[in-house]
Amino acid sequence: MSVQPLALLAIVVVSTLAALVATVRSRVVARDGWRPAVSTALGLIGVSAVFLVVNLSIGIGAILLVRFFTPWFVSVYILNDITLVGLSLLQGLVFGVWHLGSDGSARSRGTG
Amino acid sequence: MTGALRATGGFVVVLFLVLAFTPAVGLVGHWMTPRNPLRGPAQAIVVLGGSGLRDDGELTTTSLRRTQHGIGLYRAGLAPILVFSGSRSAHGIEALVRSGVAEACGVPRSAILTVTTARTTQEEAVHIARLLQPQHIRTIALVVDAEGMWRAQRAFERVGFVVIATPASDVSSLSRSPEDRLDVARRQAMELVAGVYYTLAGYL
Repeated sequence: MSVQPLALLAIVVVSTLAALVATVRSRVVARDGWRPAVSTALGLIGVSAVFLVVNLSIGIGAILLVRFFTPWFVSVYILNDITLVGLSLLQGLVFGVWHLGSDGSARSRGTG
Repeated sequence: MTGALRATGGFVVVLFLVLAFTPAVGLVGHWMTPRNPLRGPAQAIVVLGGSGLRDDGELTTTSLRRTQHGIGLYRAGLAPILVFSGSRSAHGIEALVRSGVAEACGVPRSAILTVTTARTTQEEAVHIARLLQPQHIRTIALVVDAEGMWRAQRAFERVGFVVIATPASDVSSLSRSPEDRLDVARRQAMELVAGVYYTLAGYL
């Protein structure tokens, strides 16, 4: 196995452990708060994945419509861009956090 | 946040780790690369278009890699004719730039044919069939990236060619770093989507 993947993983493990120690020592957050944090993070990644699939579907559909109903040709490969992943992640974070905020507001109003 | 979204997120994280840090991409690439029982010689080497031209009019990395592979096969004596495909863009015509590269590498102009009108793999199969089959050329060595070979091979067989698969890249050998693996995985995913579309459209 190449050294590079191991080096990357080792760096991430070291920074994660350092952040864990700093977070626990700060006593600002609950020690057992990591479970809901991981759960929320996975939910936000899930929302981003849904946005990515929706964005790709819209893109492919629009390109096929242009191909079939106009004289222009647009390559599907224009969607093969890492930028779309970043933008979908941004969409997922914004709408996911918004959703979480509205959940909290609803609960505090006694409607959730 | 629903359990389904959390499960989706968990799946994405696991998929990311598997694709980036395990040999899974190489194994998928091995599975996607055709096992071709046919060996040369062919009547023509057909090099499919590859991402066109850059803004400066030069070949993209993909296009250049395929071009070099085709030239190498020609110089090895696999076939007497070298066909370059590549359509027109704002920066030039890919097939003509490839032809120039081949001539600069010593391939005689008389051995080079170009197809400049095809924009998709399906169109390449149809247009190249129109060019070669009147010359009674049926057996071709097809040059395209490994992960796209199975779809291209079937598209060309559908229009009447006997295809010798000569992939321009070995997917497994490209998968050395996590970033390389993710890039190959992305191309494999696109090929799978394209394969579904080609199947539904009746091109394969």
